[in-house]
Amino acid sequence: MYLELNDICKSFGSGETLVQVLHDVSLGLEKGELCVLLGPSGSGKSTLLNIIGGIEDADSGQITIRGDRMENMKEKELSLYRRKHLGYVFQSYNLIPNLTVRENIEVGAFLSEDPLDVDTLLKELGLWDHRDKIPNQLSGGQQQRTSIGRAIVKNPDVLLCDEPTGALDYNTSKDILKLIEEVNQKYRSTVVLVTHNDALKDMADRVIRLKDGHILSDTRNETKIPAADLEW
Amino acid sequence: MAKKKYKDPLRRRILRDLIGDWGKYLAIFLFLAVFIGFEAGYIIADTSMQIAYTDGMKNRHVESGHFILHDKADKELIKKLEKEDISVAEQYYLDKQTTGSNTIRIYKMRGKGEVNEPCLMDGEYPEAADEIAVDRLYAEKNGIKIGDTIPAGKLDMKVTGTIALPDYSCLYKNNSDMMFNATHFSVGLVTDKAFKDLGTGGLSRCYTWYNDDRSLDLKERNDKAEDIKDILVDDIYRTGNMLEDFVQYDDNNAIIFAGDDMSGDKAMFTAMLYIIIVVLAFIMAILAKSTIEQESQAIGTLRASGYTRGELVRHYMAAPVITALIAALIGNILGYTAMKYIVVDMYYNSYSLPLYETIWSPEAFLKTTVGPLIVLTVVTFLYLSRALRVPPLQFLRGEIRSSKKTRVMKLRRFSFMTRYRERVLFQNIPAYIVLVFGISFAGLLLFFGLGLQPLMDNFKDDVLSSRIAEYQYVLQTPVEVDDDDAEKYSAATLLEPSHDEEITIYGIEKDSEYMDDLKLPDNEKATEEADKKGTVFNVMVSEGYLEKYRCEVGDTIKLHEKYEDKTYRFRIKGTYKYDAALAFFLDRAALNACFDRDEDSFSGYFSDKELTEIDEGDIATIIRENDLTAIADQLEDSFGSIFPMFTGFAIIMYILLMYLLGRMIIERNAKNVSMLKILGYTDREVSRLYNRATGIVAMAAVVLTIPLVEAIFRVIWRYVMFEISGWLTFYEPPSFYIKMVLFGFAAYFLVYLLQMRKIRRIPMGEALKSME
Repeated sequence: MYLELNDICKSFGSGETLVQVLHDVSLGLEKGELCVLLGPSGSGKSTLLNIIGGIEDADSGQITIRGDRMENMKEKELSLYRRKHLGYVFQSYNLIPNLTVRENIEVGAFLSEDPLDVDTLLKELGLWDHRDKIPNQLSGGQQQRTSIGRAIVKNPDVLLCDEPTGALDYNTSKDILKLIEEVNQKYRSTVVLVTHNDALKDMADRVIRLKDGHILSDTRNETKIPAADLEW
Repeated sequence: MAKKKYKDPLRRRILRDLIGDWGKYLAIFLFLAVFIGFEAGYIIADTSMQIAYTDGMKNRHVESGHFILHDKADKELIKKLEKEDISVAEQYYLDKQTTGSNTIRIYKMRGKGEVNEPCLMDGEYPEAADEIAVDRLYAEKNGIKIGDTIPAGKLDMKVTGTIALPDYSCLYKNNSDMMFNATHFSVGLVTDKAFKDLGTGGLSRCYTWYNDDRSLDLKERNDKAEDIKDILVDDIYRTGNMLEDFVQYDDNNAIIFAGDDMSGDKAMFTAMLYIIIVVLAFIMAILAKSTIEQESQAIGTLRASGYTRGELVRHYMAAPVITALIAALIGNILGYTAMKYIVVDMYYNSYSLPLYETIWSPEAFLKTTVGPLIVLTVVTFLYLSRALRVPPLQFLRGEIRSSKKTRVMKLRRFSFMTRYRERVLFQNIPAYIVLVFGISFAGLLLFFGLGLQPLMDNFKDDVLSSRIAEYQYVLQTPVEVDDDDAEKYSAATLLEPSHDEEITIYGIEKDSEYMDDLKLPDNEKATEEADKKGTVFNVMVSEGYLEKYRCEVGDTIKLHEKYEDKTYRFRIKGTYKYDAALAFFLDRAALNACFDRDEDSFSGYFSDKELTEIDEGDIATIIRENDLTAIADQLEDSFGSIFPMFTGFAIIMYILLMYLLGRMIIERNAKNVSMLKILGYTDREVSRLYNRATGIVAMAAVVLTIPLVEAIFRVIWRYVMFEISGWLTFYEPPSFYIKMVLFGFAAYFLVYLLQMRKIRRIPMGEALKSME
């Protein structure tokens, strides 16, 4: 198994305000799998993504990526773990305001021992003509493309996408989803995509539904629909 | 093919941050460069001048001491003296009246290698009989130029050059004078022929001695001086000659005062710089933290992508530390150039020092570049490390500002505007703490900048209103005067043991007309038992003594002789308003008994008119109005140029502190400002919410910290007073405090205008950015 989670538990608060967000969640993903985590608000999907991303601690359980176990890692080790294995895409693009598009992508490239070529990536992302612009000169879609570029230029083992289309309109959302699909196919990155949009399940290899911190279902798509053909 | 390795693009941000936020960094830069420049200039100038002074003493063979005889010393005396491993040289001088009532002390030209070799500061040495070289400082203070003609007694002489003599680095006319006086007293050099032409009026037969062994310590030098004195006294018995004056190097104010005074303020200036550096370090840290808050989501993403905390700490430290580094280097360059001259001028304006060469000062580099950089770097590092300790997820959620523990403060039912401002206040407490601290420090600078002048004016008024008489004659030898105005007094000088400060003990006539308000204490028993060991004499003391040494009426004070191991005990019976010096008063008979003098012995006269019948040669010194206020006059003269600089520093500090912190608060709330504008608030109303909050804190700090600042200044003043003789009572008129507040208000008004501009420039789109 490429990415493996065993018995992950997570709660917030204490005493009477204790809320159990994840209950013994276990799952395994293969290399190159595109997995969509679906669920309503408060189901624990973003928390699970953050635990995989090492930016949130699990109360208990184990996470392993390519044999590297994450529990008990210290802060610096966790940073290096993220640097080595992960790419992150957020709903808000979180670009650095006074760096150009190219430089924002180089932020990711700098962190990797095996980065993709930035120029090639800029062309593939359709950002070549915008490479010298700064974020506030870009549209939302272009900014999200840049943030995806920043994540995938690292050539990460796992690409974590938290509601990447949440702030985008329909057409732009489809463009971004196509891009994620292409990245998954071309670079064989394992992709975990968190969304509350049920329509996205059809583009995934695996669909995991979460409700109240439990895995409700874990299914494989025998026939995927390309992102370009998704409707919602 | 090898994969391309990318450089950290965050590095490129540093220059862009510096350029993009130039106002903030320029303010920090100016703040640092000015203060570091001044401190570096001070250390460089001080060190260079110190070396010029000490080298001057050594290379120009400054005397080990001198004595003045009434008649020429015969060969036998010189021979006896030189057996003591000293070289004796004849350095006669003439005291002549020059411009106005000023005195010029004229010596024969001294050649290279001779004792007290002169330093030519400008022009030429005299070559003709009507030529003279005068002291450089006196010439400057009196507007005398090379080529001018000045009177010297009955002759007119052309000034060919200006000089500095190592035995007059400080222009004391008499060693017993309370203060030097470069405006009314000068030294000059003329040719042998000119010296002869000037006649013998005012001639002093002065002989210098120069110890062959230059490595003698203070005690050995004192012992040698005592031996020389004994030989001279023996000679007086042998020949009937008279010893008119005897001053050894270590007691000669004209030689040692400048050296003792130099570097005196170094500790204070260094402390001032470091207080400013610490204030600035916290400002920089607060500004950097504010940047982190504004960029929290980008930071969260970077952390989530694998940037370590250390990498980000270094990144956010870079711009302020680079600014500080450049400012420190430029400050050092300023120190070696423009700023140095301020201190050099200050010294040259007080003392007759030789030419100096600017030396490279490792001390200046360490104290003004390395030290401040370490402080700034460490404080910023610690503050940022703490700020970036927040988990990445909290950064991503923008939750770094308020901790979970913070409760929403319930505010009283004021108007909305007031409550909003209170929220701004509570939100920025660390920034406001730094603001209050900085304003307090600026207030302290204002005490030096604006407060010293009225303090000295008050001192002068007090001195003049409490002076004993118009003239106070200090006699070389007791001379009887038949004049109703003349009133005898006895005086002695003892040392206060804790600070070796000279205290004058006055013996006053019991029915004194000049001090009729002084109730002399009873000393009949003590006078009778003066021979007994441990006899305590009752005295009235000047109020300054009580203040300075924190004594009380009833205390017993021990004072001791300067060279002998003899102690005297006095009991304080009351105080007397006398501000010119630290003094004890008792009746003349008691003083004479106390010091084992003849019952009728006296030291001089008080008089309200000039006593013309006393021969000039019998007078050691005459203390007039100018002499009494000499301390304040000289302090004003020496530091007058520094006072406005302190005021300037204080105003710069007010403006920069209010500007940097006010700006940070607006930047931090840019989204809120933008949203208020969208809601329909005018720029002025927004300013009332944000700028006025800063204004209230700043103004309250300016006003409310005055008592604290005054208390600190009093402590510093006390420390300064122990560096000099005497006591200047702390006093500030109400106008000083009003000025202080007005300066604070003016600074805030300027900053207010700048901040209004900043608010105007925040676009309404700012609030919508995160919603794109």
